[in-house]
Amino acid sequence: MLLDGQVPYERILKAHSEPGNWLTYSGDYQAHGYSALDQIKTSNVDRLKVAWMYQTGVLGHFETTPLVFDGVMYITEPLSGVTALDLRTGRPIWTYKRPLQKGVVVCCGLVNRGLAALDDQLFLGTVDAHLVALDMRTGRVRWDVQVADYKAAYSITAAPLAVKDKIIIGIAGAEYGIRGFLDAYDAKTGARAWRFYTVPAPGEPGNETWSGDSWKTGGAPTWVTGAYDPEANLVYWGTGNPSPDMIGDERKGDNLYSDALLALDADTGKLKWHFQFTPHDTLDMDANQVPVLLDADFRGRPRKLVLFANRNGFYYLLDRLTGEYLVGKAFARQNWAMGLDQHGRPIWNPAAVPSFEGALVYPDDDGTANWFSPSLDLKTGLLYQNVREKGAIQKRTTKSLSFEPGHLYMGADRLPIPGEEPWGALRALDWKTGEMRWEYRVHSPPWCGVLSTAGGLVFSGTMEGDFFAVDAVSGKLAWRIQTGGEIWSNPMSYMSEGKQYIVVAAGTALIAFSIDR
Amino acid sequence: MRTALVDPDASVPLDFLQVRVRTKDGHSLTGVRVNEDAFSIQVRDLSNQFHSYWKSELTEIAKEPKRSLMPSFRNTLTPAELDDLIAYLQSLQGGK
Repeated sequence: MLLDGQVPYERILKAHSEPGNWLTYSGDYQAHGYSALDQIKTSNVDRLKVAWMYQTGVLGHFETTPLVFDGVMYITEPLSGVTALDLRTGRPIWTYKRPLQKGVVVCCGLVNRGLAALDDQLFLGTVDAHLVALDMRTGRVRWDVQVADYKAAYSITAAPLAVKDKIIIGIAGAEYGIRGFLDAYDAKTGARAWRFYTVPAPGEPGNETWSGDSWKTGGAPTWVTGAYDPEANLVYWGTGNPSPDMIGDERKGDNLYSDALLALDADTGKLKWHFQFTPHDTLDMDANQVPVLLDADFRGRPRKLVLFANRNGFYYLLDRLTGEYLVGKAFARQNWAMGLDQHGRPIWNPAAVPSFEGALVYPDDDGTANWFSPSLDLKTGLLYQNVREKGAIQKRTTKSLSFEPGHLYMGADRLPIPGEEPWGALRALDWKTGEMRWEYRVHSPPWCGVLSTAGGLVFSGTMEGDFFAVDAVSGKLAWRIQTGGEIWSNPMSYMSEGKQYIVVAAGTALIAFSIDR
Repeated sequence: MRTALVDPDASVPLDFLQVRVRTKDGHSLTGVRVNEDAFSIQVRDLSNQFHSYWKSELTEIAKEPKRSLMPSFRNTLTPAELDDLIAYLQSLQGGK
């Protein structure tokens, strides 16, 4: 086997023409998270078995979505490691390990969700807020640049996105009062091409939505990989919570561009439009979800659309050229909004704001949806989304919060609701309306994504280690296996030597399944 | 600790959730849930015996989050005896 992969931009543009590979985080630039492979289907999935496993040996949430091309799989591991695996045997070819810097501060684990590939390089964001380019064949470092200062609690957990000659990468740390941004770097040299600050400075449009100096620690991170429309040359990227997460007294205003979807020019980073889902958020409703792009007929005419199943419990459909609000529908239990107005702006429930007495809020601050990916199947017309049905009592902890770099900057404690056990579900939503067609309930709120396939199946996992498939049309269980480890990843699929595989990370293992022939 | 002794139903940790299951052949069992997932549930009964069920074998799973299997000591111990018991239990936790 010759390790000589090349992934030029033109190849990623046509990712759908090679369904046996997985060239970018969400499978393609439209971020459908869908596999066009159909060798594994409803009629034979009961014969799905473990083909090979790879053990990382690294503790921590294993949140990778692998890339696959030209006979090799590339994964990331906790602590910002990278391993290349031989597709035939699952054996490691090379590993990149990064020493953990002292003083790295993260809210939610030293995780990494994946890589970007462009030409003969792989690109990795690290928990110490660097962007690293690795030689695809050997794993050796080609260049390594600092994106931000990890000592100020900046970190990177997202997979980058390769667009044309640039690598686009988002930043995390809004639980610590960072000022968020989205960056693009020259893929060959590592020089920064542009930076878009998601919290505008004085004089910039949107700064008037922050009182006083609150913009300086405004948050609005960009920690989940976005999507790209090559025709419009627009990158679509979600932004997260304003800081401090749970109290808004000292940041009066809508707090642009937190909790929003941004459409940015891919060459310059200039903002074309934004849509803010949760203005002046005090419930940590990051809009760091994967935006799904779709060209389809809608209300009688062809439209270019973006679908967004939001952490705040609402499903949105927007025009992706203009940001025009088209549909908004609750797809899970929520009580923080009494509805959405005709522009999609929420009507806040004043009782659902964190208080010293404790406010009962659905969903809790982990949200209905989170970073884990949805999957769009155009054959069924359904968007498959894992859903967390979990509320909380949000109890404010302080009258005012002072900011200290590197320290939590949140303002409330989350308490469980006595006697109430949270649960989860895999839901199938009509993409046109957000209406639920079916759901498959699971025991506890999931932290993994879903994969739908041309074989008529939807794959998902649970926190108790179950990896399972349901019929994409009916939602009926078709197959399952107990993996022994929590599933914190997005499943994906690839083809190798004429055989289809389904892959998921569970516990500390990466597991590939196939059907014996 | 005092609440747990005099009003054990007040706050039952999810690790000690009391459940009642009924199988398709009509057999019923009450106990503490050991594990549960989307497909199965495991229960330890009152005599500490372990039972494992696929959910597809069951017709009912009733969860009683506000029921503890522990009896209340409210009417069996005097306030002074309760203080002594709490002091003793706390002494078992070791020094800080």
